[in-house]
Amino acid sequence: MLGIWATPLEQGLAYGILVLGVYLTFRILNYADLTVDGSFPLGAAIAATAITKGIHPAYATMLGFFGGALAGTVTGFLNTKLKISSLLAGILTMTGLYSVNLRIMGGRSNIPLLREATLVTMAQDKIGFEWGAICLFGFIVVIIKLVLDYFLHTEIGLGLRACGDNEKMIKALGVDTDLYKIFGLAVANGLVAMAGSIVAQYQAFADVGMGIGTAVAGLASVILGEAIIRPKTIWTATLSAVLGSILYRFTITFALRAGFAATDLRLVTAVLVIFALALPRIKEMKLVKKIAEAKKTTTSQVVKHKTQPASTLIGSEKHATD
Amino acid sequence: MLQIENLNKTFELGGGTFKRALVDLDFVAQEGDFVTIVGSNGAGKSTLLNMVAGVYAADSGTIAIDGTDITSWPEHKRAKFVGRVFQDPMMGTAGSMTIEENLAMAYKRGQRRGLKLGVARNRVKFKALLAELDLGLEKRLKDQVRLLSGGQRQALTLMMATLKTPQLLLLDEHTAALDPKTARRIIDLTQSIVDNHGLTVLMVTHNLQQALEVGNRTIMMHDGGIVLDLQGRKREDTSVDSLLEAFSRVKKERFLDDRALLA
Repeated sequence: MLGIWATPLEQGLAYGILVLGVYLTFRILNYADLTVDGSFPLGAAIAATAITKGIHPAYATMLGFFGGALAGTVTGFLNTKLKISSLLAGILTMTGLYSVNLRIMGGRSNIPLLREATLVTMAQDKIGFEWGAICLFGFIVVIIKLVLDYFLHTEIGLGLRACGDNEKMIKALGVDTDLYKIFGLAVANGLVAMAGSIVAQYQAFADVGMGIGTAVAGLASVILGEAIIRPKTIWTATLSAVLGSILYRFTITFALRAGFAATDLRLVTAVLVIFALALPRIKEMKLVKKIAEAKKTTTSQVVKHKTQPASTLIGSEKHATD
Repeated sequence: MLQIENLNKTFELGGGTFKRALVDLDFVAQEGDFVTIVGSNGAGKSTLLNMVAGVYAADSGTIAIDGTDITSWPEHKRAKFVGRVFQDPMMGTAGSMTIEENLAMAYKRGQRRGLKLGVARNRVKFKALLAELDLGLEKRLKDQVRLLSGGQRQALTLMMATLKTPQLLLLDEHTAALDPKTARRIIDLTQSIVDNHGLTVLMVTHNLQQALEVGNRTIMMHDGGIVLDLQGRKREDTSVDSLLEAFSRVKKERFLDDRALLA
């Protein structure tokens, strides 16, 4: 029934959890977090290893979340306490995580889950093959969205949002901004790793290289969603993040069908993000041009205006002579 | 109320040069004092306020509020005692958040924050308080603060700083970025809020007229120290001209006994 759109829809919902995490750092904390490229496979590695060890996939997914939260805490600590710049802090954690992930996976770069029972196979057994994954991912992402919506309106949540908006002000109101930022990065990377755990179960393997480019893909999804929905509230912003994720996967599927090679997609994504980030600048330049042109036309109008009374004067003179 | 003893702060400007921003500064403000602070650029006015607020750590000396030594307290912890309004109207509010959300954050100043909804039950209270400002903001609770004018934002910041009555209110040239009419309104609002709560206030200003009109005490700072302290009769007898004169004299002679200055 869903045909070729089943896969991008499933992916969009699964990665929607990741995009909510990216939204939290990128838009709420105003922090471009590159830890994502490491915490995503971290979640996958933890979940896959746990599942092959016989741990229930639900618990394995939770473990993935906590692993990611720990990674986010490290990045937050590097940034706030050791004053390492936000980008570098993320890159350092991400780089370190590569080794950590391989350790967790017992030195192998790939753990197959083909013969294991996962959350996805369980859902497919219960609901049916076509809708199983969609229902499972949709359920999880909606729950997380709603919890996030509530959280961002709580006293702590308001403080967290203010950390990204006006740090000086919220500090003056008594918030320990370092602690809040670390906490925000922990939750965000927890969500990213949880997405990694779920994606690993979905594709039935965890791979140490599966994180490359996820941070930028997450940004692209957030930006795409915002372009469509133009959110003004938290409720619509989280919704736009999830829809952006789905839209992004559709775009990728579309690009593949249009003849792009799978290996070209990273470039497509990068260009998409560059374009979106440059958009305000482009608009600004256009505006400057417009204003310059408007000035030109108004000055020429003034000149016309000056000549007009003269002609009417001549006219009135004619009247007078008549 | 506020006791500052022997406070020193030196900033490193880089390249081996230093700026002594505060030098052996002693200052005591009584409960209910409304102190206006004047002085030329670089005199240490803002540094003093920032030191009290905890933005910078002291090199030496102590700061105490109501007998509690807060010298080593971080900025966010001092927020329990101190309400602040900055010069830049953008600085005191979160632009992307709504009016009621900003108020909700201020309502928790210096208190433990939890997982209860921030605004919820307080909406009625906020509405009533905003109505007192008479700026029509009570109808715009759900508007983002970035949509407000500078004057409106500064009025809101002032309300936020005093929503939970602070032991000490710090105003750092909070009307300097506004047009004269709006500045007047904000000063009137400041006065009425301070009177209503009987607050202790330190207000930095460049407007000498304002410095003498508002409050009950005026101090002049120069080169990191207090060179003039006017209260009571002495202050009432001081005009803007004599204050200006004092200014230039201090600049020339670096230091003058205030008694000699007013003789």
